[in-house]
Amino acid sequence: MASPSVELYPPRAGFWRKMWRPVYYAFKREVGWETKDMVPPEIRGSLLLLICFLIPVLPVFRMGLWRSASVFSGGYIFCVTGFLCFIGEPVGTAFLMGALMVHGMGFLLYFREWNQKRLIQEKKPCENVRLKSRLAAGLLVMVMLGIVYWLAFEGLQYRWFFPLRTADGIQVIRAQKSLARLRHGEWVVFKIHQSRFAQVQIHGGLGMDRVLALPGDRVEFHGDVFAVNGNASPALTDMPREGRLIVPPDRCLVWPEQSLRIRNRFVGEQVIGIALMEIALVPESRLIGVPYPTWFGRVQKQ
Amino acid sequence: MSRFNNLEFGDSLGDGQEQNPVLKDENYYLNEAHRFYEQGDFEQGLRAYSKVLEYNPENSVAWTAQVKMLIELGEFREAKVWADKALERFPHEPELLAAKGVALCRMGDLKTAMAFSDAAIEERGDTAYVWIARGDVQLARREKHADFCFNKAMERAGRSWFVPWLISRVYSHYLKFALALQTIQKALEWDAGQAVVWFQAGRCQQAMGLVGHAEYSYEQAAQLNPRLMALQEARRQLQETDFWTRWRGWWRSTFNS
Repeated sequence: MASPSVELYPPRAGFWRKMWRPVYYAFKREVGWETKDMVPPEIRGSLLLLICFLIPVLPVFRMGLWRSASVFSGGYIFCVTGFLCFIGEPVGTAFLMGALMVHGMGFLLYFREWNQKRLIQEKKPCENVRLKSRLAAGLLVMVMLGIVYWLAFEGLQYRWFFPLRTADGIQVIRAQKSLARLRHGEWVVFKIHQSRFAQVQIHGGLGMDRVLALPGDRVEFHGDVFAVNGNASPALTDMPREGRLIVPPDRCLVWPEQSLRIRNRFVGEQVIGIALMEIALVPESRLIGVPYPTWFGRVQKQ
Repeated sequence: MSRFNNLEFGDSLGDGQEQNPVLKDENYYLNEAHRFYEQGDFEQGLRAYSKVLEYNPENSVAWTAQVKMLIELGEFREAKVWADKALERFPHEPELLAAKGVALCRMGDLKTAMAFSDAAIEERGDTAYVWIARGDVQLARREKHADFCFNKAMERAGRSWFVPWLISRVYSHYLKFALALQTIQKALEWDAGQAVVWFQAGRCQQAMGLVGHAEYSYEQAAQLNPRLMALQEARRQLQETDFWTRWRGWWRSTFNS
Protein backbone atom coordinates (compact mmCIF):
# COMPACT_ATOMS: atom_id res chain seq x y z
CA MET A 1 0.00 0.00 0.00
CA ALA A 2 1.43 3.39 -0.99
CA SER A 3 2.31 6.13 1.48
CA PRO A 4 -0.11 5.55 4.37
CA SER A 5 0.88 8.92 5.87
CA VAL A 6 -0.97 10.81 3.13
CA GLU A 7 -4.33 12.07 4.30
CA LEU A 8 -6.72 10.55 1.83
CA TYR A 9 -10.06 11.04 3.47
CA PRO A 10 -11.56 14.52 3.12
CA PRO A 11 -12.73 16.69 6.01
CA ARG A 12 -16.44 16.34 6.81
CA ALA A 13 -19.06 18.83 7.83
CA GLY A 14 -20.69 18.40 11.23
CA PHE A 15 -24.42 18.23 11.84
CA TRP A 16 -24.89 21.90 12.75
CA ARG A 17 -22.82 23.11 9.83
CA LYS A 18 -24.99 21.08 7.47
CA MET A 19 -28.03 22.66 9.07
CA TRP A 20 -27.16 26.36 8.82
CA ARG A 21 -24.90 26.48 5.79
CA PRO A 22 -27.60 26.00 3.09
CA VAL A 23 -29.41 29.05 4.47
CA TYR A 24 -26.18 31.07 4.46
CA TYR A 25 -25.29 29.98 0.92
CA ALA A 26 -28.80 30.76 -0.37
CA PHE A 27 -28.55 34.19 1.25
CA LYS A 28 -25.15 34.77 -0.37
CA ARG A 29 -26.54 33.78 -3.77
CA GLU A 30 -29.51 36.12 -3.39
CA VAL A 31 -27.45 39.07 -2.21
CA GLY A 32 -24.61 38.36 -4.64
CA TRP A 33 -21.86 38.29 -2.04
CA GLU A 34 -18.61 36.63 -3.00
CA THR A 35 -16.52 35.23 -0.18
CA LYS A 36 -13.39 36.80 -1.63
CA ASP A 37 -15.07 40.23 -1.71
CA MET A 38 -16.29 40.06 1.87
CA VAL A 39 -13.03 39.65 3.76
CA PRO A 40 -9.54 39.75 2.21
CA PRO A 41 -7.89 36.30 2.61
CA GLU A 42 -4.85 37.72 4.39
CA ILE A 43 -6.93 39.00 7.31
CA ARG A 44 -9.60 36.25 7.27
CA GLY A 45 -7.73 34.07 9.78
CA SER A 46 -7.10 36.96 12.15
CA LEU A 47 -10.71 38.13 11.87
CA LEU A 48 -11.94 34.64 12.68
CA LEU A 49 -9.62 34.56 15.69
CA LEU A 50 -11.04 37.88 16.87
CA ILE A 51 -14.62 36.62 16.47
CA CYS A 52 -13.72 33.48 18.43
CA PHE A 53 -12.17 35.70 21.11
CA LEU A 54 -15.31 37.79 21.45
CA ILE A 55 -18.02 35.10 21.26
CA PRO A 56 -17.90 32.67 24.20
CA VAL A 57 -17.80 28.89 23.48
CA LEU A 58 -17.81 29.48 19.69
CA PRO A 59 -14.14 28.38 19.43
CA VAL A 60 -14.94 25.01 21.01
CA PHE A 61 -17.79 24.48 18.51
CA ARG A 62 -15.49 25.47 15.65
CA MET A 63 -12.97 22.85 16.76
CA GLY A 64 -15.72 20.24 16.44
CA LEU A 65 -15.42 19.17 20.09
CA TRP A 66 -19.15 18.73 20.54
CA ARG A 67 -19.14 17.18 24.00
CA SER A 68 -16.72 19.74 25.37
CA ALA A 69 -18.71 22.49 23.66
CA SER A 70 -21.89 21.28 25.38
CA VAL A 71 -20.12 21.28 28.76
CA PHE A 72 -18.63 24.73 28.10
CA SER A 73 -22.02 26.09 26.95
CA GLY A 74 -23.75 24.66 30.01
CA GLY A 75 -21.08 26.10 32.31
CA TYR A 76 -21.21 29.48 30.66
CA ILE A 77 -25.01 29.70 30.75
CA PHE A 78 -24.98 28.63 34.42
CA CYS A 79 -22.39 31.28 35.33
CA VAL A 80 -24.14 34.06 33.39
CA THR A 81 -27.50 33.15 34.95
CA GLY A 82 -25.89 33.17 38.41
CA PHE A 83 -24.27 36.51 37.68
CA LEU A 84 -27.55 38.07 36.57
CA CYS A 85 -29.41 36.59 39.52
CA PHE A 86 -26.94 37.96 42.08
CA ILE A 87 -25.82 41.03 40.15
CA GLY A 88 -24.07 43.54 42.37
CA GLU A 89 -23.48 40.97 45.15
CA PRO A 90 -20.10 39.28 45.80
CA VAL A 91 -21.63 35.94 44.71
CA GLY A 92 -22.59 37.56 41.39
CA THR A 93 -19.02 38.70 40.92
CA ALA A 94 -17.82 35.13 41.56
CA PHE A 95 -20.24 33.88 38.89
CA LEU A 96 -18.92 36.52 36.50
CA MET A 97 -15.37 35.30 37.14
CA GLY A 98 -16.57 31.78 36.36
CA ALA A 99 -18.08 32.94 33.06
CA LEU A 100 -14.87 34.76 32.25
CA MET A 101 -12.82 31.62 32.93
CA VAL A 102 -15.05 29.42 30.75
CA HIS A 103 -14.85 32.01 27.96
CA GLY A 104 -11.08 32.29 28.28
CA MET A 105 -10.46 28.54 28.45
CA GLY A 106 -12.51 27.95 25.30
CA PHE A 107 -10.53 30.59 23.46
CA LEU A 108 -7.15 29.32 24.71
CA LEU A 109 -7.96 25.81 23.44
CA TYR A 110 -8.75 27.25 20.02
CA PHE A 111 -5.75 29.56 20.05
CA ARG A 112 -3.38 26.64 20.62
CA GLU A 113 -4.77 24.83 17.56
CA TRP A 114 -4.79 28.02 15.47
CA ASN A 115 -1.18 28.73 16.38
CA GLN A 116 -0.08 25.20 15.45
CA LYS A 117 -1.80 25.50 12.07
CA ARG A 118 -0.11 28.84 11.50
CA LEU A 119 3.32 27.37 12.29
CA ILE A 120 2.69 24.47 9.91
CA GLN A 121 1.61 26.89 7.15
CA GLU A 122 4.69 29.03 7.70
CA LYS A 123 6.79 25.81 7.79
CA LYS A 124 8.17 26.62 11.24
CA PRO A 125 8.87 23.93 13.86
CA CYS A 126 5.96 23.18 16.22
CA GLU A 127 7.75 22.93 19.54
CA ASN A 128 6.05 22.40 22.87
CA VAL A 129 5.29 25.76 24.44
CA ARG A 130 6.89 26.20 27.86
CA LEU A 131 4.75 26.40 30.98
CA LYS A 132 5.77 30.01 31.67
CA SER A 133 4.69 31.08 28.19
CA ARG A 134 1.40 29.21 28.54
CA LEU A 135 0.70 30.88 31.88
CA ALA A 136 1.60 34.28 30.44
CA ALA A 137 -0.69 33.70 27.44
CA GLY A 138 -3.50 32.58 29.75
CA LEU A 139 -3.07 35.62 31.97
CA LEU A 140 -2.97 37.95 28.98
CA VAL A 141 -6.16 36.45 27.53
CA MET A 142 -7.93 36.76 30.88
CA VAL A 143 -6.86 40.40 31.27
CA MET A 144 -7.97 41.21 27.72
CA LEU A 145 -11.31 39.47 28.26
CA GLY A 146 -11.71 41.34 31.53
CA ILE A 147 -11.24 44.62 29.64
CA VAL A 148 -13.77 43.52 26.98
CA TYR A 149 -16.34 42.61 29.66
CA TRP A 150 -15.70 45.85 31.54
CA LEU A 151 -16.14 47.90 28.36
CA ALA A 152 -19.33 46.00 27.57
CA PHE A 153 -20.77 46.65 31.05
CA GLU A 154 -19.72 50.29 30.93
CA GLY A 155 -21.48 50.67 27.60
CA LEU A 156 -24.58 48.82 28.72
CA GLN A 157 -25.12 49.97 32.27
CA TYR A 158 -26.89 53.30 31.66
CA ARG A 159 -28.54 52.05 28.47
CA TRP A 160 -30.10 48.79 29.66
CA PHE A 161 -29.84 47.87 33.34
CA PHE A 162 -27.38 48.09 36.21
CA PRO A 163 -27.16 47.33 39.95
CA LEU A 164 -27.27 50.13 42.50
CA ARG A 165 -26.27 49.70 46.11
CA THR A 166 -28.74 51.46 48.44
CA ALA A 167 -29.36 51.45 52.17
CA ASP A 168 -31.95 48.68 51.58
CA GLY A 169 -29.58 46.48 49.60
CA ILE A 170 -28.89 46.04 45.88
CA GLN A 171 -31.52 47.40 43.51
CA VAL A 172 -31.42 46.53 39.81
CA ILE A 173 -32.31 49.61 37.79
CA ARG A 174 -33.85 49.70 34.32
CA ALA A 175 -32.61 52.61 32.20
CA GLN A 176 -35.36 55.16 31.59
CA LYS A 177 -34.63 58.72 30.64
CA SER A 178 -38.07 60.03 29.78
CA LEU A 179 -40.23 62.14 32.07
CA ALA A 180 -43.34 61.14 30.13
CA ARG A 181 -43.25 57.58 31.48
CA LEU A 182 -42.85 58.54 35.16
CA ARG A 183 -45.75 58.29 37.59
CA HIS A 184 -46.39 59.97 40.95
CA GLY A 185 -44.87 58.03 43.84
CA GLU A 186 -42.58 55.92 41.63
CA TRP A 187 -38.99 55.37 42.71
CA VAL A 188 -36.54 56.99 40.35
CA VAL A 189 -32.75 57.09 40.08
CA PHE A 190 -31.24 60.43 39.11
CA LYS A 191 -27.85 62.00 38.84
CA ILE A 192 -26.71 64.54 41.44
CA HIS A 193 -23.99 66.90 40.30
CA GLN A 194 -21.36 68.10 42.71
CA SER A 195 -22.21 71.68 43.62
CA ARG A 196 -22.00 74.36 46.29
CA PHE A 197 -24.73 76.71 47.44
CA ALA A 198 -23.70 79.35 49.96
CA GLN A 199 -22.05 77.26 52.71
CA VAL A 200 -23.69 73.98 51.66
CA GLN A 201 -21.40 71.51 49.85
CA ILE A 202 -23.22 68.82 47.85
CA HIS A 203 -21.30 65.71 46.75
CA GLY A 204 -22.07 64.26 43.35
CA GLY A 205 -23.39 60.75 42.67
CA LEU A 206 -26.66 58.92 42.11
CA GLY A 207 -29.80 59.50 44.15
CA MET A 208 -32.88 57.31 44.47
CA ASP A 209 -36.15 58.68 45.79
CA ARG A 210 -39.85 58.86 45.03
CA VAL A 211 -41.30 61.18 42.37
CA LEU A 212 -43.42 63.75 44.17
CA ALA A 213 -44.57 65.97 41.32
CA LEU A 214 -44.47 65.89 37.54
CA PRO A 215 -44.22 68.77 35.00
CA GLY A 216 -47.04 71.31 35.44
CA ASP A 217 -47.99 70.14 38.96
CA ARG A 218 -48.63 72.82 41.58
CA VAL A 219 -46.66 72.26 44.83
CA GLU A 220 -47.31 74.14 48.07
CA PHE A 221 -45.25 73.97 51.29
CA HIS A 222 -47.02 74.96 54.45
CA GLY A 223 -45.58 74.14 57.87
CA ASP A 224 -45.51 70.37 58.44
CA VAL A 225 -47.35 69.51 55.22
CA PHE A 226 -46.82 69.90 51.52
CA ALA A 227 -49.51 69.57 48.84
CA VAL A 228 -49.28 68.49 45.22
CA ASN A 229 -52.25 69.74 43.19
CA GLY A 230 -54.11 70.15 46.48
CA ASN A 231 -53.36 66.64 47.85
CA ALA A 232 -51.63 67.21 51.17
CA SER A 233 -48.93 64.93 52.65
CA PRO A 234 -46.62 65.23 55.68
CA ALA A 235 -43.53 67.31 54.89
CA LEU A 236 -40.29 65.42 54.33
CA THR A 237 -36.98 66.14 56.08
CA ASP A 238 -35.56 69.62 55.40
CA MET A 239 -38.46 70.66 53.16
CA PRO A 240 -39.12 74.43 53.05
CA ARG A 241 -41.65 75.59 55.66
CA GLU A 242 -43.38 78.02 53.30
CA GLY A 243 -43.60 78.55 49.60
CA ARG A 244 -45.20 77.36 46.38
CA LEU A 245 -44.03 76.48 42.92
CA ILE A 246 -45.20 75.04 39.62
CA VAL A 247 -42.93 72.27 38.35
CA PRO A 248 -41.29 73.40 35.06
CA PRO A 249 -42.14 71.41 31.90
CA ASP A 250 -38.77 69.62 31.65
CA ARG A 251 -38.40 68.71 35.33
CA CYS A 252 -39.90 66.60 38.07
CA LEU A 253 -39.82 67.03 41.82
CA VAL A 254 -37.90 64.31 43.70
CA TRP A 255 -37.08 65.26 47.27
CA PRO A 256 -33.65 63.78 48.09
CA GLU A 257 -34.60 62.50 51.52
CA GLN A 258 -33.04 59.03 51.12
CA SER A 259 -30.23 60.09 48.82
CA LEU A 260 -28.49 62.75 50.90
CA ARG A 261 -27.14 62.69 54.41
CA ILE A 262 -26.44 66.06 55.97
CA ARG A 263 -23.17 65.82 57.86
CA ASN A 264 -23.31 69.01 59.99
CA ARG A 265 -25.84 71.67 60.57
CA PHE A 266 -23.90 74.86 61.11
CA VAL A 267 -26.01 76.58 58.43
CA GLY A 268 -29.62 77.62 58.69
CA GLU A 269 -32.48 75.30 57.69
CA GLN A 270 -33.67 77.79 55.12
CA VAL A 271 -30.32 77.70 53.31
CA ILE A 272 -30.33 73.87 53.36
CA GLY A 273 -33.91 73.90 52.07
CA ILE A 274 -33.02 76.15 49.15
CA ALA A 275 -29.94 74.03 48.34
CA LEU A 276 -31.99 70.82 48.41
CA MET A 277 -34.67 72.39 46.20
CA GLU A 278 -31.96 72.92 43.56
CA ILE A 279 -31.36 69.13 43.60
CA ALA A 280 -35.01 68.21 43.99
CA LEU A 281 -36.14 69.75 40.72
CA VAL A 282 -34.56 67.04 38.56
CA PRO A 283 -34.24 67.89 34.85
CA GLU A 284 -34.98 65.13 32.31
CA SER A 285 -31.29 65.03 31.32
CA ARG A 286 -30.36 63.82 34.83
CA LEU A 287 -32.84 60.96 34.94
CA ILE A 288 -31.16 57.53 34.93
CA GLY A 289 -33.85 54.90 35.45
CA VAL A 290 -36.39 53.16 37.63
CA PRO A 291 -35.99 49.93 39.64
CA TYR A 292 -37.47 46.73 38.21
CA PRO A 293 -40.47 45.64 40.34
CA THR A 294 -38.85 42.20 40.76
CA TRP A 295 -35.48 40.75 39.78
CA PHE A 296 -35.23 36.95 39.55
CA GLY A 297 -37.98 36.58 42.15
CA ARG A 298 -36.56 39.27 44.44
CA VAL A 299 -39.09 42.05 45.18
CA GLN A 300 -37.54 45.50 44.78
CA LYS A 301 -38.57 49.01 45.82
CA GLN A 302 -41.96 49.98 44.37
CA MET B 1 -25.42 -9.45 13.03
CA SER B 2 -22.19 -8.77 14.87
CA ARG B 3 -21.65 -5.37 16.44
CA PHE B 4 -18.20 -5.29 14.84
CA ASN B 5 -19.59 -5.54 11.31
CA ASN B 6 -19.34 -1.83 10.62
CA LEU B 7 -15.67 -1.59 11.60
CA GLU B 8 -13.05 -1.53 8.87
CA PHE B 9 -10.27 -4.03 9.36
CA GLY B 10 -7.43 -3.85 6.87
CA ASP B 11 -8.74 -4.06 3.33
CA SER B 12 -12.22 -5.33 4.11
CA LEU B 13 -15.10 -3.17 2.90
CA GLY B 14 -18.59 -4.32 3.75
CA ASP B 15 -20.12 -7.58 4.91
CA GLY B 16 -18.71 -10.97 4.22
CA GLN B 17 -16.12 -9.90 1.73
CA GLU B 18 -13.29 -11.71 3.51
CA GLN B 19 -14.34 -14.92 1.74
CA ASN B 20 -14.29 -13.20 -1.67
CA PRO B 21 -11.32 -14.51 -3.62
CA VAL B 22 -11.28 -11.44 -5.90
CA LEU B 23 -8.00 -9.50 -5.80
CA LYS B 24 -8.67 -6.25 -3.95
CA ASP B 25 -6.53 -3.72 -5.70
CA GLU B 26 -6.90 -0.20 -7.02
CA ASN B 27 -9.18 -1.29 -9.87
CA TYR B 28 -11.37 -3.35 -7.56
CA TYR B 29 -12.02 -0.40 -5.24
CA LEU B 30 -12.43 1.96 -8.18
CA ASN B 31 -15.19 -0.28 -9.59
CA GLU B 32 -16.75 -0.56 -6.15
CA ALA B 33 -16.65 3.22 -5.78
CA HIS B 34 -18.27 3.77 -9.18
CA ARG B 35 -20.94 1.23 -8.23
CA PHE B 36 -21.69 3.10 -4.99
CA TYR B 37 -21.81 6.38 -6.93
CA GLU B 38 -24.29 4.96 -9.41
CA GLN B 39 -26.41 3.58 -6.55
CA GLY B 40 -26.57 7.04 -5.00
CA ASP B 41 -24.66 5.86 -1.92
CA PHE B 42 -22.28 8.80 -1.79
CA GLU B 43 -21.05 8.11 1.74
CA GLN B 44 -19.78 4.63 0.82
CA GLY B 45 -18.56 6.01 -2.51
CA LEU B 46 -16.41 8.53 -0.66
CA ARG B 47 -14.88 5.78 1.45
CA ALA B 48 -14.24 3.57 -1.55
CA TYR B 49 -12.52 6.38 -3.48
CA SER B 50 -10.32 6.95 -0.42
CA LYS B 51 -9.39 3.27 -0.60
CA VAL B 52 -8.41 3.77 -4.23
CA LEU B 53 -6.13 6.61 -3.19
CA GLU B 54 -4.51 4.42 -0.57
CA TYR B 55 -3.36 2.20 -3.42
CA ASN B 56 -2.56 5.03 -5.78
CA PRO B 57 -2.50 8.60 -4.47
CA GLU B 58 -1.92 9.83 -8.03
CA ASN B 59 -5.29 8.61 -9.28
CA SER B 60 -6.87 11.85 -10.46
CA VAL B 61 -10.23 10.16 -11.11
CA ALA B 62 -10.52 9.20 -7.43
CA TRP B 63 -9.55 12.69 -6.23
CA THR B 64 -12.12 14.27 -8.55
CA ALA B 65 -14.78 11.76 -7.59
CA GLN B 66 -14.23 12.49 -3.89
CA VAL B 67 -14.98 16.14 -4.57
CA LYS B 68 -18.10 15.09 -6.50
CA MET B 69 -19.22 12.87 -3.61
CA LEU B 70 -18.85 15.75 -1.14
CA ILE B 71 -20.91 17.98 -3.44
CA GLU B 72 -23.63 15.34 -3.67
CA LEU B 73 -23.58 15.05 0.13
CA GLY B 74 -24.16 18.80 0.36
CA GLU B 75 -20.78 19.50 1.98
CA PHE B 76 -19.71 22.24 -0.38
CA ARG B 77 -17.11 23.91 1.78
CA GLU B 78 -15.39 20.58 2.40
CA ALA B 79 -15.60 19.87 -1.35
CA LYS B 80 -13.86 23.16 -2.05
CA VAL B 81 -11.13 22.43 0.51
CA TRP B 82 -10.60 18.97 -0.95
CA ALA B 83 -10.63 20.31 -4.52
CA ASP B 84 -7.92 22.80 -3.54
CA LYS B 85 -5.85 19.94 -2.15
CA ALA B 86 -6.38 17.86 -5.28
CA LEU B 87 -5.58 20.80 -7.57
CA GLU B 88 -2.15 21.04 -5.93
CA ARG B 89 -1.46 17.64 -7.52
CA PHE B 90 -3.50 18.00 -10.71
CA PRO B 91 -3.76 21.69 -11.57
CA HIS B 92 -4.92 21.01 -15.16
CA GLU B 93 -7.54 18.32 -14.50
CA PRO B 94 -10.70 19.61 -16.26
CA GLU B 95 -13.26 17.67 -14.20
CA LEU B 96 -11.55 18.73 -10.97
CA LEU B 97 -11.68 22.38 -12.02
CA ALA B 98 -15.32 21.91 -13.00
CA ALA B 99 -16.14 20.23 -9.67
CA LYS B 100 -14.52 23.07 -7.77
CA GLY B 101 -16.64 25.45 -9.82
CA VAL B 102 -19.76 23.56 -8.71
CA ALA B 103 -18.69 23.65 -5.06
CA LEU B 104 -18.09 27.40 -5.31
CA CYS B 105 -21.36 28.21 -7.06
CA ARG B 106 -23.33 26.21 -4.51
CA MET B 107 -21.55 28.23 -1.80
CA GLY B 108 -22.70 31.43 -3.51
CA ASP B 109 -19.32 32.44 -4.99
CA LEU B 110 -20.73 32.76 -8.49
CA LYS B 111 -18.01 34.82 -10.20
CA THR B 112 -15.19 32.58 -9.02
CA ALA B 113 -17.25 29.51 -9.91
CA MET B 114 -17.62 30.76 -13.47
CA ALA B 115 -13.88 31.37 -13.68
CA PHE B 116 -13.23 27.73 -12.70
CA SER B 117 -15.82 26.49 -15.17
CA ASP B 118 -14.13 28.55 -17.91
CA ALA B 119 -10.79 27.09 -16.87
CA ALA B 120 -12.22 23.56 -17.12
CA ILE B 121 -13.37 24.22 -20.69
CA GLU B 122 -10.03 25.82 -21.57
CA GLU B 123 -8.25 22.67 -20.38
CA ARG B 124 -10.01 20.85 -23.27
CA GLY B 125 -12.51 19.42 -20.83
CA ASP B 126 -15.14 18.06 -23.18
CA THR B 127 -16.66 15.43 -20.91
CA ALA B 128 -20.30 15.25 -19.93
CA TYR B 129 -19.46 16.19 -16.33
CA VAL B 130 -17.65 19.39 -17.35
CA TRP B 131 -20.80 20.50 -19.23
CA ILE B 132 -23.09 19.45 -16.36
CA ALA B 133 -20.92 21.47 -13.99
CA ARG B 134 -21.08 24.46 -16.32
CA GLY B 135 -24.86 24.13 -16.46
CA ASP B 136 -24.89 24.00 -12.66
CA VAL B 137 -22.94 27.26 -12.46
CA GLN B 138 -25.20 28.88 -15.08
CA LEU B 139 -28.30 27.81 -13.14
CA ALA B 140 -26.90 29.30 -9.95
CA ARG B 141 -26.20 32.54 -11.84
CA ARG B 142 -29.75 32.40 -13.29
CA GLU B 143 -28.44 32.55 -16.84
CA LYS B 144 -30.31 31.15 -19.81
CA HIS B 145 -27.46 29.06 -21.19
CA ALA B 146 -27.86 26.27 -18.65
CA ASP B 147 -30.08 24.26 -21.02
CA PHE B 148 -27.45 24.55 -23.74
CA CYS B 149 -24.80 23.14 -21.38
CA PHE B 150 -27.03 20.26 -20.30
CA ASN B 151 -27.84 19.48 -23.95
CA LYS B 152 -24.10 19.36 -24.64
CA ALA B 153 -23.72 16.93 -21.74
CA MET B 154 -26.58 14.78 -23.08
CA GLU B 155 -24.87 14.64 -26.49
CA ARG B 156 -21.85 13.12 -24.75
CA ALA B 157 -23.97 10.74 -22.67
CA GLY B 158 -24.11 7.98 -25.30
CA ARG B 159 -27.52 6.82 -24.04
CA SER B 160 -26.13 6.41 -20.53
CA TRP B 161 -28.82 6.95 -17.86
CA PHE B 162 -26.16 8.32 -15.54
CA VAL B 163 -25.84 11.72 -17.25
CA PRO B 164 -29.56 12.66 -17.23
CA TRP B 165 -29.72 11.40 -13.64
CA LEU B 166 -26.94 13.81 -12.66
CA ILE B 167 -28.59 16.65 -14.59
CA SER B 168 -31.89 15.93 -12.89
CA ARG B 169 -30.19 16.11 -9.50
CA VAL B 170 -28.74 19.52 -10.43
CA TYR B 171 -32.19 20.80 -11.43
CA SER B 172 -33.61 19.42 -8.15
CA HIS B 173 -30.98 21.29 -6.16
CA TYR B 174 -32.20 24.56 -7.66
CA LEU B 175 -35.84 23.52 -7.05
CA LYS B 176 -36.62 23.25 -10.78
CA PHE B 177 -38.59 20.06 -10.34
CA ALA B 178 -40.49 20.15 -13.65
CA LEU B 179 -37.21 20.27 -15.59
CA ALA B 180 -35.73 17.67 -13.26
CA LEU B 181 -38.67 15.35 -13.96
CA GLN B 182 -38.44 15.94 -17.70
CA THR B 183 -34.73 15.02 -17.64
CA ILE B 184 -35.12 11.96 -15.46
CA GLN B 185 -37.81 10.65 -17.83
CA LYS B 186 -35.11 10.56 -20.50
CA ALA B 187 -32.99 8.44 -18.15
CA LEU B 188 -35.98 6.12 -17.63
CA GLU B 189 -36.37 5.79 -21.40
CA TRP B 190 -32.75 4.75 -21.71
CA ASP B 191 -32.61 2.40 -18.72
CA ALA B 192 -35.65 1.74 -16.55
CA GLY B 193 -33.78 -0.88 -14.53
CA GLN B 194 -32.00 1.59 -12.25
CA ALA B 195 -33.49 2.08 -8.79
CA VAL B 196 -31.88 5.49 -8.32
CA VAL B 197 -33.55 6.79 -11.49
CA TRP B 198 -36.99 5.74 -10.23
CA PHE B 199 -36.14 7.22 -6.85
CA GLN B 200 -35.13 10.54 -8.42
CA ALA B 201 -38.34 10.55 -10.47
CA GLY B 202 -40.29 9.92 -7.26
CA ARG B 203 -38.57 12.82 -5.52
CA CYS B 204 -39.44 15.21 -8.35
CA GLN B 205 -43.05 13.99 -8.45
CA GLN B 206 -43.36 14.29 -4.69
CA ALA B 207 -41.98 17.84 -4.76
CA MET B 208 -44.54 18.75 -7.44
CA GLY B 209 -47.37 17.29 -5.40
CA LEU B 210 -47.90 14.30 -7.72
CA VAL B 211 -48.25 11.96 -4.79
CA GLY B 212 -49.75 9.00 -6.65
CA HIS B 213 -47.02 9.05 -9.27
CA ALA B 214 -44.37 9.41 -6.58
CA GLU B 215 -45.75 6.37 -4.73
CA TYR B 216 -45.56 4.36 -7.96
CA SER B 217 -41.97 5.52 -8.64
CA TYR B 218 -40.84 4.68 -5.11
CA GLU B 219 -42.49 1.29 -5.44
CA GLN B 220 -40.47 0.59 -8.61
CA ALA B 221 -37.29 1.78 -6.89
CA ALA B 222 -37.99 -0.45 -3.88
CA GLN B 223 -38.54 -3.47 -6.16
CA LEU B 224 -35.25 -2.86 -7.93
CA ASN B 225 -33.20 -2.09 -4.81
CA PRO B 226 -34.97 -2.40 -1.43
CA ARG B 227 -31.82 -1.21 0.38
CA LEU B 228 -31.62 2.07 -1.52
CA MET B 229 -30.41 4.90 0.71
CA ALA B 230 -33.05 7.43 1.75
CA LEU B 231 -35.90 5.46 0.14
CA GLN B 232 -37.51 4.60 3.47
CA GLU B 233 -37.32 8.20 4.61
CA ALA B 234 -38.81 9.48 1.33
CA ARG B 235 -41.68 6.97 1.55
CA ARG B 236 -42.35 7.96 5.15
CA GLN B 237 -42.51 11.62 4.12
CA LEU B 238 -44.87 10.67 1.33
CA GLN B 239 -47.16 8.90 3.80
CA GLU B 240 -47.31 12.12 5.84
CA THR B 241 -48.32 14.26 2.84
CA ASP B 242 -51.47 16.17 3.73
CA PHE B 243 -54.83 15.92 2.00
CA TRP B 244 -54.58 19.22 0.07
CA THR B 245 -51.20 18.34 -1.44
CA ARG B 246 -52.62 14.99 -2.56
CA TRP B 247 -55.72 16.68 -3.98
CA ARG B 248 -53.61 19.29 -5.84
CA GLY B 249 -51.45 16.53 -7.29
CA TRP B 250 -54.51 14.56 -8.42
CA TRP B 251 -55.96 17.72 -10.07
CA ARG B 252 -52.70 18.43 -11.87
CA SER B 253 -52.28 14.87 -13.09
CA THR B 254 -55.92 14.65 -14.23
CA PHE B 255 -56.43 17.99 -15.96
CA ASN B 256 -52.97 19.32 -16.81
CA SER B 257 -51.40 16.31 -18.45
